[in-house]
Amino acid sequence: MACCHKLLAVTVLFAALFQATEVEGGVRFSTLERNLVVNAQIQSQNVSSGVAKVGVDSLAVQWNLNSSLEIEVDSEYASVKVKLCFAPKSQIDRGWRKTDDDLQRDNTCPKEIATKLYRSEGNFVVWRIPKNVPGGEYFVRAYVLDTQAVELAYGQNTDDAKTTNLITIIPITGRLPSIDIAGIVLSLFSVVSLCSFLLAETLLDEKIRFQNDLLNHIGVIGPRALAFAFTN
Amino acid sequence: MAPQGQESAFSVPGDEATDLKGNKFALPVDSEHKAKTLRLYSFASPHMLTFHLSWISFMTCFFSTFAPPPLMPVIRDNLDLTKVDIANAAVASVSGSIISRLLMGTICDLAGPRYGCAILIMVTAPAVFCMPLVNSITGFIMVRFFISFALATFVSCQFWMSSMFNSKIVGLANGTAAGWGNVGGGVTQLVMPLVFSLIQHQFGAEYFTAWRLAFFVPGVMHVVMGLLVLTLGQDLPDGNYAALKRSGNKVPDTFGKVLYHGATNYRTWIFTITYGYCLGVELTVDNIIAEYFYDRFDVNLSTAGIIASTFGFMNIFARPAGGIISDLMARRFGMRGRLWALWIIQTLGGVLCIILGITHQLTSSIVVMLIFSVFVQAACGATFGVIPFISRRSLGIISGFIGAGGNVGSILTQVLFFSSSKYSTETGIMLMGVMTVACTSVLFLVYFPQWGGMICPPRVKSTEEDYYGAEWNAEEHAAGLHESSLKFAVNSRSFLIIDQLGMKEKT
Repeated sequence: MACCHKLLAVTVLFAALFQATEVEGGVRFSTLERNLVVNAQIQSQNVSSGVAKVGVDSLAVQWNLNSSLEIEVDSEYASVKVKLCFAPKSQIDRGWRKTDDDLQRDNTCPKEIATKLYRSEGNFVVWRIPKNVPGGEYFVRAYVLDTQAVELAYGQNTDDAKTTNLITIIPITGRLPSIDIAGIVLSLFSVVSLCSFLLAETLLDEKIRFQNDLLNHIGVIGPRALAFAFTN
Repeated sequence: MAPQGQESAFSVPGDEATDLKGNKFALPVDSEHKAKTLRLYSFASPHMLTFHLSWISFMTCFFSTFAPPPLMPVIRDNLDLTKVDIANAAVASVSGSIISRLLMGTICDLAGPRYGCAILIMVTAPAVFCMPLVNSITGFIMVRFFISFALATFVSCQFWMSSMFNSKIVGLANGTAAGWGNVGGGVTQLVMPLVFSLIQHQFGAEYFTAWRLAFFVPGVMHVVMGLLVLTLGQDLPDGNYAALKRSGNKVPDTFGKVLYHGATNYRTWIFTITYGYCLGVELTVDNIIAEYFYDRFDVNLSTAGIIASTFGFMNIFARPAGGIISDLMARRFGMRGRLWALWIIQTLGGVLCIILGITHQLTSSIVVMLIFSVFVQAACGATFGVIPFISRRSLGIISGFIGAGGNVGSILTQVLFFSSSKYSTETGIMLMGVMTVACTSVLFLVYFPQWGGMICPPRVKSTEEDYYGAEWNAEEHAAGLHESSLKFAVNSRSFLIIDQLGMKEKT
């Protein structure tokens, strides 16, 4: 029975591995043209803060085709995927957010804001920033896809060096007062129950020692007391 | 039961032996009332119940120490960590137990493994419960540091096994208990992501809250195991230290003497070095292997987690196998067999580590890693087939030193080869293998007068009683304090003596 389980586990493992070893090259970002013009603003109740809080504030994103281009450029454009992407400052020393020219391996843009059908203008979306977005500096990029979901072009709200118009997002801590309380209560329970146990065993040990001493003591005087009692 | 000192070292052991309360033992025992067999399916008190309590509490501590790595993608986003931050926390997660393993050895010698294990596991439970409260890298490093104190349950586990099981099977008992405990490092890679996913999707918790809630699982495990050890555990086959001290059957010893005899035995330090390159390698790999496969071979995080967990799961049979091999070699060749077995297994582990570092292809890399894990973990098991024989008086503190050596080896390796961009991870792995082979060669320096060393045969007329009796001075001999060591000496006697007629078997 254990043999069957092990065999199943190994089979599943190898199946997972062979899936993982299939690597397809994706479109290279450097081959894409920057044909879209993208703008993004923070919509916040606290207008002057300049930062966006997750769960509370929203991003308003507009995009349209660059009007100075030739008209035929968008003949194959089918849909637009708008994404929130890390600015270089939030990528430093964090290899899991690395930018790679191969879009299949690129980790720059973790969150998808919207996917819409392609229109050359009049595109607008308001996106409430979800609570699972980590804190950091971001920009917005829109990829244009064809009917096979292959990237054809892009646009972003920042310059090529990704230094201007960056959006600062403030995250949640994830902590809740109830978690804090539960943690403290259980910690106290652990320490207090340990101390009670040790105290109880020490007291029991002393009690038994005392009883043993007493019995030993009585054992010495016992026969003499009996002898005394008999003679009197 | 005969008063201490009057019991003959050659009294008939076994099936009719009883503990202090007059209850018959469920397993066959020797003159020290240590079990002569290991029945894994049994929970009979005291031997097998102790075995199960011991390995499960050790596994719980491994589980909580290595609980952050599988959830690191969530934690690093929540706390805004960089690669250096994560590496620092990983070093912290194996540092705390250096101190605690040294202390635990002494606590076991003086207060007993039951108290040692229970106190440690319940005192580190608050550290585990602090993980949900962490807000910054400083807090994260500190919490990982304090949780790592719990890894000292390894010392109480090994000490407890050495106290409960006869020298013929101590390698098997130690290896199985420690191996199954180490599996906690594999279990956590599978379970923590599952618990996280359950909390996030079934209970609808926020992404950055769910990982915090997941840490209540190891925390509660700590508390439960601590209470079970206190209520069901027993220090020695005859009873707890307190009861035995009362009846005069447990000799109270002083910390100074125990420390002196442990520290002045050069074998302690040799095994500290070699264990640094078997357990040390295992701990390092636990911390880096998921990321290695994720980065180098572009597998996704779940796949990297599955691969990482298989490394830990090999412990189920690899470490006990090391103990069994040590015991089998001892039957045929005595202590010399144990030393050779350890050297061969650990050196092969180092060679496979070198090969892992130079393997460029994913499937071959996984296969090499699995074989490498078997050898490294078997070496840990084989090491603890030798350690119970280094000293009787200072067994606890020696186990503590050597266990701490494992952690020092891991810290040294991580700092030297894995924390800067000077070496790529694969080069670091290869260099770790080279260092393993180099450090394992100090085993050639180990020599027991009564049994010999790897190269040299035993000294004629040198006996086990001389070796273990030498730990007690003349006054202690006169007071009869060395009696338990003498009993151990008899039970540790090798099974073959070499005389002019050639090898003959002695039972």
